[in-house]
Amino acid sequence: MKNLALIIAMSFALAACGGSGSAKTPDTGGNAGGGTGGTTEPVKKTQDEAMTAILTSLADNYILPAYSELANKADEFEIASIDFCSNSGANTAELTNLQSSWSALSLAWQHSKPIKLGPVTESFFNYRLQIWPDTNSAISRGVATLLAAEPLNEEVVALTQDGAQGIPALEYLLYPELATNGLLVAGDKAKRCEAVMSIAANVKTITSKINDKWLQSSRDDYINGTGQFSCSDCAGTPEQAILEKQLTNWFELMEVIVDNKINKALGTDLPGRVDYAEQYRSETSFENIKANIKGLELVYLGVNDYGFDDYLAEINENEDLDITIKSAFSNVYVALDGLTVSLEQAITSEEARAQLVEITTKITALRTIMASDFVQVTGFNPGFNSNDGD
Amino acid sequence: MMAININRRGFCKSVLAFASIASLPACETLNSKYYASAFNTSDDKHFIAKLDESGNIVTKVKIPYRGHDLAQVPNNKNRVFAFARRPGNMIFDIDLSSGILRQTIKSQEGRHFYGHGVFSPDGKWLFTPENDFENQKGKIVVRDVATLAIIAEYDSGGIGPHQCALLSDGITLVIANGGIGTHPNTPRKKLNLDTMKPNLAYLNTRTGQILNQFYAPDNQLSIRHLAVSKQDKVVIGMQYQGAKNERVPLIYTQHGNSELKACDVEQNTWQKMQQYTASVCIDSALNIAAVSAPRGDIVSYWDLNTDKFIGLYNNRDCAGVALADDGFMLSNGKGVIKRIAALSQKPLEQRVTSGIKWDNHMLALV
Repeated sequence: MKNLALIIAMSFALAACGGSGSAKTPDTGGNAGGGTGGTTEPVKKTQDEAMTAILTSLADNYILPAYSELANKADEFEIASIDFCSNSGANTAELTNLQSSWSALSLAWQHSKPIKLGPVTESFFNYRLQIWPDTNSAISRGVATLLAAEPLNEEVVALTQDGAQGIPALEYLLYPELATNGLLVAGDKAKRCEAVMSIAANVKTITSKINDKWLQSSRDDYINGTGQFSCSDCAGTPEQAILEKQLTNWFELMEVIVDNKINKALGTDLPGRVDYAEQYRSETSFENIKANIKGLELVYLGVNDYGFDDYLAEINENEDLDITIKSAFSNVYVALDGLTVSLEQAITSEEARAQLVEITTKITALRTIMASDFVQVTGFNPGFNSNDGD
Repeated sequence: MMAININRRGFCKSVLAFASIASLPACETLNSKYYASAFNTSDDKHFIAKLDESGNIVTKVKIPYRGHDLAQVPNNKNRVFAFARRPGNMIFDIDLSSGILRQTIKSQEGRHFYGHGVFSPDGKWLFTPENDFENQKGKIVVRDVATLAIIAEYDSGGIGPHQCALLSDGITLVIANGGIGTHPNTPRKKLNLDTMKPNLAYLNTRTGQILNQFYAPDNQLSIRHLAVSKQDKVVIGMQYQGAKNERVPLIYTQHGNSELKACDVEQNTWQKMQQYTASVCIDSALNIAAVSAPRGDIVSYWDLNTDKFIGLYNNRDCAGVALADDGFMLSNGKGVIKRIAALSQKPLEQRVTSGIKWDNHMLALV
């Protein structure tokens, strides 16, 4: 049985390091790669065993830690919101602490974005945690509803439209566009605090449900292709179907990063469209992108255990392609490191806009390798018509 | 009727199994049903295939670009036109019996196709939705099939005309004006999501007159695919361009002068479709429709007497839907062709062809 705390710590150490990508530690034993230490020759996995190994690795080393961390950060934010709001003399430093706690929650969510399978897709949880892009002002409308609600509590939030329920609604309250709506100075600051605490409780409940479900049954179902991960219409095995769905989500998030998170905000001309940036109020949109890329890399690597990279080497005997993919990831990180200001600032200057374009170029190059060479070599067949757009 | 089909299938199988010299064209003479669809390989090559009702590829023809939908030249079971996917500017004229690309038809300068088109019942005229992209106008272009000369060009009644079909009079064309403006310089970019006005337009193909238009209840509900029943009821598959969390009806019907009517099902079913539908197919005899939703991995079935939901069939990355004698043929991006009973949605037959991805639409050759 794996030590979950260690796995969580390892995962987030990787997530936090940023900028330089993840390198797997050499396999010195254990099950990864089939080695057991000593002089025993590693036993080569069959294709089915390799797929199960990836799923097991993703479940235990990425998905469970990611949702555990998300639930923890939601819990911490709720406590922070209660502490802040119960302090009638709260000052700027305490508001900054609350904002930092929200940032940690938001990053934990962004880190989990590549998963998009299982419990997070139930009961509209993913939309309740984050609506974006907010094309119909759902966030501002939702928060306005909450501020007018009497009484206002977690149950009221859970029954209000999705825009009121999640991380963007918290950002809206913590980083108001009008300074006079700030939590320290607003005329209705008590009500705003009530809204923050109620939304925080709702986010905690949702993230706990997702985490609990993964621990109770989804982990095993994910690995074994049972329950909600069973597949009555698979062309291949259920394990292959799950991996292909995971890859479909991988490609989709890549497209979202380039098309929506960067290009929409860039617009065609200076100064770009800051209101199209994912989290322009807190100016944390670029941090989201970095967290997404880290999550996408961890999916490819199986974190520090058996991943698609090992599959390429062991099943397809194509380490060269793995090296190419890892190099493409490195290029993405170099491009990300080349931007030293927020996305919201970057879109307003020619030089930084060029760096954003460079980032999209490197991400697109990585995606192209995965969509062509990787798919052809492995035979994995991610969603085709589902990403068609026609 | 069903028993006859089963016997005929059984006959073909026994001929193949025991005589081994039997050829599929011989079965064709016994009125076998065949289908056609575009497909792509994992190394990104593009083909048009003729399929038998078991999903076996009988003929395949390589084409240079990705195909989308096909139209059969009337009264010729072996000749189809395959329309390049948006923003392609080519139509591929395919002979399915000899497996050759007869000719390639290019759009005019300043136009591209939308992946769909339809022949007049007598096979003399070809109608294609096209994009006049510099002026951001939807067009219906009429070609003489014999000479391929353009003989008329009409306004489609909106931007982004996608699929179109003829009513039973053979003259009135119903057009899904998707409303989304695009330009081939940025082919997948949607240029007018805030101002789009999708509509279903009826056009007299002899005069170019727009006879009627029905607007989507939400301006971000893009009308993309449609099918027409023998009673001229139109079933429409929508793609929603609004906020991702919104759960809006995606399948509508329209008949005569009545407004668009949303089909009736609980909200969760709309949510499952993830705001995206693909192919629409009608069984006029049973008066039911099947609509694929590839993002939700489901094909949904609808009673056209009541416009109510009948059921769902799980089909990963589903794509084409075509009418079979005893149900619907379904294709998907995983190389799977299935024949499914229309009412019970019971799988009748399945064929997996590894390494290929069936594209959006499938055509029953009649």
